[in-house]
Amino acid sequence: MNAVAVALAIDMLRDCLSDGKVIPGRHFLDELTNEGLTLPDAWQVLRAGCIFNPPEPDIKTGEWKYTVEGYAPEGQWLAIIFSFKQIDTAYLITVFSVAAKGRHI
Amino acid sequence: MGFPVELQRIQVIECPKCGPEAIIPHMDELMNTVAMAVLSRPCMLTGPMVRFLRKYVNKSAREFAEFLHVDHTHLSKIENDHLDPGAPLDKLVRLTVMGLQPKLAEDIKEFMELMPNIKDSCLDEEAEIQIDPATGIYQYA
Repeated sequence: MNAVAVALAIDMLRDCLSDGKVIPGRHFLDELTNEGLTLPDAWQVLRAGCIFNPPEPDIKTGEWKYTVEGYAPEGQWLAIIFSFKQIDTAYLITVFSVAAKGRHI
Repeated sequence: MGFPVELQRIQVIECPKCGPEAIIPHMDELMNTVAMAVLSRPCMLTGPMVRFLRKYVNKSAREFAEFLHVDHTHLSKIENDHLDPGAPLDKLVRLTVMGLQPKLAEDIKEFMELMPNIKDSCLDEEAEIQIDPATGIYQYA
Protein backbone atom coordinates (compact mmCIF):
# COMPACT_ATOMS: atom_id res chain seq x y z
CA MET A 1 0.00 0.00 0.00
CA ASN A 2 1.11 3.56 -0.64
CA ALA A 3 1.86 5.85 2.27
CA VAL A 4 -1.09 7.86 3.52
CA ALA A 5 -1.21 11.16 5.36
CA VAL A 6 -1.14 11.03 9.15
CA ALA A 7 -4.72 12.28 9.50
CA LEU A 8 -6.00 9.62 7.12
CA ALA A 9 -3.86 6.92 8.74
CA ILE A 10 -5.40 7.44 12.16
CA ASP A 11 -8.90 7.27 10.66
CA MET A 12 -7.95 4.10 8.82
CA LEU A 13 -6.59 2.60 12.04
CA ARG A 14 -9.82 3.35 13.88
CA ASP A 15 -11.76 1.77 11.00
CA CYS A 16 -9.58 -1.34 11.26
CA LEU A 17 -10.50 -1.57 14.94
CA SER A 18 -14.21 -1.10 14.41
CA ASP A 19 -15.04 -2.65 11.06
CA GLY A 20 -11.82 -4.17 9.77
CA LYS A 21 -9.11 -6.46 11.09
CA VAL A 22 -6.10 -6.22 13.33
CA ILE A 23 -3.21 -8.68 13.30
CA PRO A 24 -1.10 -8.59 16.47
CA GLY A 25 2.28 -9.80 15.21
CA ARG A 26 4.30 -12.30 17.19
CA HIS A 27 7.04 -9.77 17.95
CA PHE A 28 4.40 -7.25 19.05
CA LEU A 29 2.87 -9.77 21.47
CA ASP A 30 6.29 -10.70 22.86
CA GLU A 31 7.22 -7.05 23.42
CA LEU A 32 3.83 -6.39 25.03
CA THR A 33 4.54 -9.19 27.51
CA ASN A 34 8.06 -7.87 28.10
CA GLU A 35 6.57 -4.50 28.99
CA GLY A 36 4.26 -6.20 31.51
CA LEU A 37 1.22 -5.23 29.46
CA THR A 38 -1.75 -7.01 27.88
CA LEU A 39 -3.90 -6.47 24.82
CA PRO A 40 -6.36 -4.10 26.53
CA ASP A 41 -3.46 -1.72 27.24
CA ALA A 42 -2.53 -1.68 23.57
CA TRP A 43 -6.16 -1.41 22.53
CA GLN A 44 -6.61 1.81 24.51
CA VAL A 45 -3.63 3.34 22.72
CA LEU A 46 -4.80 2.16 19.31
CA ARG A 47 -8.28 3.59 19.78
CA ALA A 48 -7.35 6.90 21.40
CA GLY A 49 -3.70 7.55 20.55
CA CYS A 50 -2.26 9.93 17.98
CA ILE A 51 0.13 9.60 15.08
CA PHE A 52 2.59 12.47 15.39
CA ASN A 53 5.07 11.66 12.65
CA PRO A 54 4.83 10.75 8.98
CA PRO A 55 5.31 7.09 8.08
CA GLU A 56 8.70 5.56 7.51
CA PRO A 57 9.49 2.96 4.88
CA ASP A 58 10.50 -0.53 5.97
CA ILE A 59 13.60 -1.31 3.93
CA LYS A 60 13.00 -5.06 4.03
CA THR A 61 9.30 -5.25 3.28
CA GLY A 62 8.72 -2.01 1.40
CA GLU A 63 5.73 -1.31 3.62
CA TRP A 64 5.10 2.02 5.28
CA LYS A 65 5.34 1.93 9.09
CA TYR A 66 3.26 4.24 11.24
CA THR A 67 3.60 4.91 14.97
CA VAL A 68 0.56 5.57 17.13
CA GLU A 69 1.30 6.86 20.62
CA GLY A 70 -0.70 7.42 23.75
CA TYR A 71 -1.27 6.60 27.39
CA ALA A 72 -2.06 3.09 28.57
CA PRO A 73 -4.54 2.87 31.48
CA GLU A 74 -1.79 2.79 34.09
CA GLY A 75 -0.13 5.94 32.72
CA GLN A 76 2.66 4.47 30.60
CA TRP A 77 3.26 6.28 27.30
CA LEU A 78 3.22 3.60 24.65
CA ALA A 79 4.30 3.69 21.03
CA ILE A 80 2.85 1.02 18.75
CA ILE A 81 4.40 0.60 15.33
CA PHE A 82 2.06 -0.80 12.72
CA SER A 83 1.51 -1.06 8.99
CA PHE A 84 -1.51 -1.49 6.76
CA LYS A 85 -1.62 -4.85 5.03
CA GLN A 86 -4.77 -3.71 3.30
CA ILE A 87 -6.98 -0.67 3.69
CA ASP A 88 -8.99 -2.49 6.36
CA THR A 89 -6.21 -4.52 7.98
CA ALA A 90 -3.61 -3.19 10.42
CA TYR A 91 -0.59 -5.29 11.33
CA LEU A 92 0.89 -4.53 14.75
CA ILE A 93 4.68 -4.80 14.42
CA THR A 94 6.02 -3.85 17.81
CA VAL A 95 5.39 -1.80 20.94
CA PHE A 96 7.56 0.03 23.43
CA SER A 97 7.05 2.36 26.34
CA VAL A 98 8.64 5.77 26.65
CA ALA A 99 9.44 6.21 30.31
CA ALA A 100 10.13 9.92 30.02
CA LYS A 101 6.59 10.58 28.84
CA GLY A 102 4.81 8.37 31.36
CA ARG A 103 2.60 9.85 34.02
CA HIS A 104 1.85 8.72 37.54
CA ILE A 105 -1.90 8.30 38.08
CA MET B 1 -5.91 -10.93 28.41
CA GLY B 2 -4.52 -12.60 31.52
CA PHE B 3 -7.13 -15.37 31.54
CA PRO B 4 -7.95 -18.02 28.94
CA VAL B 5 -9.93 -16.78 25.95
CA GLU B 6 -10.37 -18.86 22.82
CA LEU B 7 -11.33 -17.13 19.60
CA GLN B 8 -13.19 -19.52 17.37
CA ARG B 9 -13.33 -19.65 13.61
CA ILE B 10 -10.73 -16.95 13.02
CA GLN B 11 -8.24 -16.85 10.19
CA VAL B 12 -4.52 -16.96 10.76
CA ILE B 13 -1.64 -15.91 8.58
CA GLU B 14 1.60 -17.82 8.50
CA CYS B 15 4.65 -15.73 9.23
CA PRO B 16 7.68 -17.64 7.87
CA LYS B 17 9.84 -16.60 10.83
CA CYS B 18 7.40 -16.51 13.71
CA GLY B 19 4.61 -18.95 12.93
CA PRO B 20 0.83 -18.43 12.86
CA GLU B 21 -0.59 -15.00 13.66
CA ALA B 22 -4.27 -14.48 14.33
CA ILE B 23 -6.38 -12.07 12.27
CA ILE B 24 -8.73 -10.42 14.74
CA PRO B 25 -11.87 -8.99 13.16
CA HIS B 26 -13.76 -6.07 14.71
CA MET B 27 -11.41 -5.70 17.66
CA ASP B 28 -13.56 -3.04 19.33
CA GLU B 29 -16.55 -5.34 19.33
CA LEU B 30 -14.40 -8.25 20.49
CA MET B 31 -13.29 -6.28 23.53
CA ASN B 32 -16.92 -5.48 24.32
CA THR B 33 -17.79 -9.17 24.00
CA VAL B 34 -14.94 -10.28 26.26
CA ALA B 35 -16.00 -7.67 28.80
CA MET B 36 -19.61 -8.86 28.71
CA ALA B 37 -18.47 -12.48 29.03
CA VAL B 38 -16.39 -11.60 32.08
CA LEU B 39 -19.17 -9.53 33.61
CA SER B 40 -21.54 -12.45 33.11
CA ARG B 41 -19.24 -14.97 34.76
CA PRO B 42 -21.52 -17.11 36.94
CA CYS B 43 -19.06 -17.14 39.81
CA MET B 44 -16.56 -14.78 41.49
CA LEU B 45 -14.21 -12.89 39.21
CA THR B 46 -10.53 -13.79 39.23
CA GLY B 47 -7.84 -11.18 39.76
CA PRO B 48 -6.82 -11.01 36.09
CA MET B 49 -10.47 -10.58 35.15
CA VAL B 50 -10.79 -7.60 37.49
CA ARG B 51 -7.62 -6.15 35.96
CA PHE B 52 -9.00 -6.70 32.45
CA LEU B 53 -12.25 -4.93 33.32
CA ARG B 54 -10.34 -2.02 34.83
CA LYS B 55 -8.22 -1.61 31.72
CA TYR B 56 -11.26 -2.10 29.51
CA VAL B 57 -12.77 1.04 31.06
CA ASN B 58 -9.35 2.71 30.82
CA LYS B 59 -8.80 3.38 34.50
CA SER B 60 -5.59 3.23 36.48
CA ALA B 61 -5.56 1.16 39.66
CA ARG B 62 -5.82 4.31 41.78
CA GLU B 63 -8.74 5.67 39.76
CA PHE B 64 -10.65 2.39 39.77
CA ALA B 65 -10.01 1.87 43.49
CA GLU B 66 -11.69 5.22 44.16
CA PHE B 67 -14.84 4.03 42.42
CA LEU B 68 -14.80 0.91 44.58
CA HIS B 69 -14.03 2.81 47.78
CA VAL B 70 -10.98 0.67 48.50
CA ASP B 71 -7.28 1.43 48.73
CA HIS B 72 -5.36 0.90 45.49
CA THR B 73 -3.06 -1.56 47.28
CA HIS B 74 -6.12 -3.63 48.19
CA LEU B 75 -7.18 -3.60 44.54
CA SER B 76 -3.67 -4.62 43.49
CA LYS B 77 -3.79 -7.63 45.82
CA ILE B 78 -7.11 -8.64 44.31
CA GLU B 79 -5.83 -8.26 40.74
CA ASN B 80 -2.79 -10.38 41.57
CA ASP B 81 -4.99 -13.07 43.16
CA HIS B 82 -3.44 -12.51 46.61
CA LEU B 83 -6.87 -11.67 47.97
CA ASP B 84 -10.44 -12.65 47.08
CA PRO B 85 -12.64 -9.66 46.29
CA GLY B 86 -15.54 -11.04 48.32
CA ALA B 87 -19.10 -11.11 47.03
CA PRO B 88 -20.03 -7.44 47.64
CA LEU B 89 -16.85 -6.06 46.01
CA ASP B 90 -17.13 -8.52 43.13
CA LYS B 91 -20.59 -7.19 42.35
CA LEU B 92 -19.46 -3.60 42.81
CA VAL B 93 -16.68 -4.15 40.26
CA ARG B 94 -19.21 -5.45 37.75
CA LEU B 95 -21.70 -2.66 38.35
CA THR B 96 -18.98 -0.01 38.16
CA VAL B 97 -17.79 -1.30 34.81
CA MET B 98 -21.36 -1.44 33.50
CA GLY B 99 -21.81 2.14 34.60
CA LEU B 100 -18.57 3.39 33.07
CA GLN B 101 -19.07 1.79 29.67
CA PRO B 102 -22.17 3.13 27.87
CA LYS B 103 -21.83 0.50 25.12
CA LEU B 104 -22.81 -2.17 27.64
CA ALA B 105 -25.89 -0.30 28.81
CA GLU B 106 -28.22 -2.20 26.48
CA ASP B 107 -27.22 -5.43 28.26
CA ILE B 108 -27.96 -4.08 31.73
CA LYS B 109 -31.33 -5.78 32.14
CA GLU B 110 -29.94 -9.20 31.25
CA PHE B 111 -26.98 -8.52 33.50
CA MET B 112 -29.10 -7.55 36.52
CA GLU B 113 -31.08 -10.79 36.22
CA LEU B 114 -27.80 -12.65 36.48
CA MET B 115 -26.55 -10.87 39.58
CA PRO B 116 -28.42 -12.80 42.31
CA ASN B 117 -27.16 -16.10 40.89
CA ILE B 118 -23.43 -15.42 40.97
CA LYS B 119 -21.79 -18.15 43.03
CA ASP B 120 -18.73 -17.86 45.24
CA SER B 121 -16.76 -20.32 43.15
CA CYS B 122 -16.90 -22.12 39.82
CA LEU B 123 -16.66 -25.87 39.36
CA ASP B 124 -13.85 -25.19 36.92
CA GLU B 125 -11.97 -22.03 37.87
CA GLU B 126 -9.81 -22.30 34.78
CA ALA B 127 -12.69 -22.65 32.31
CA GLU B 128 -11.88 -20.61 29.26
CA ILE B 129 -14.17 -18.16 27.54
CA GLN B 130 -14.91 -19.22 23.98
CA ILE B 131 -15.89 -16.43 21.63
CA ASP B 132 -16.98 -16.48 18.02
CA PRO B 133 -16.01 -12.97 16.82
CA ALA B 134 -18.24 -13.31 13.75
CA THR B 135 -21.41 -13.64 15.82
CA GLY B 136 -20.36 -12.12 19.13
CA ILE B 137 -21.56 -15.25 20.92
CA TYR B 138 -19.56 -16.36 23.96
CA GLN B 139 -19.70 -19.30 26.31
CA TYR B 140 -17.68 -20.78 29.13
CA ALA B 141 -16.02 -24.07 28.12
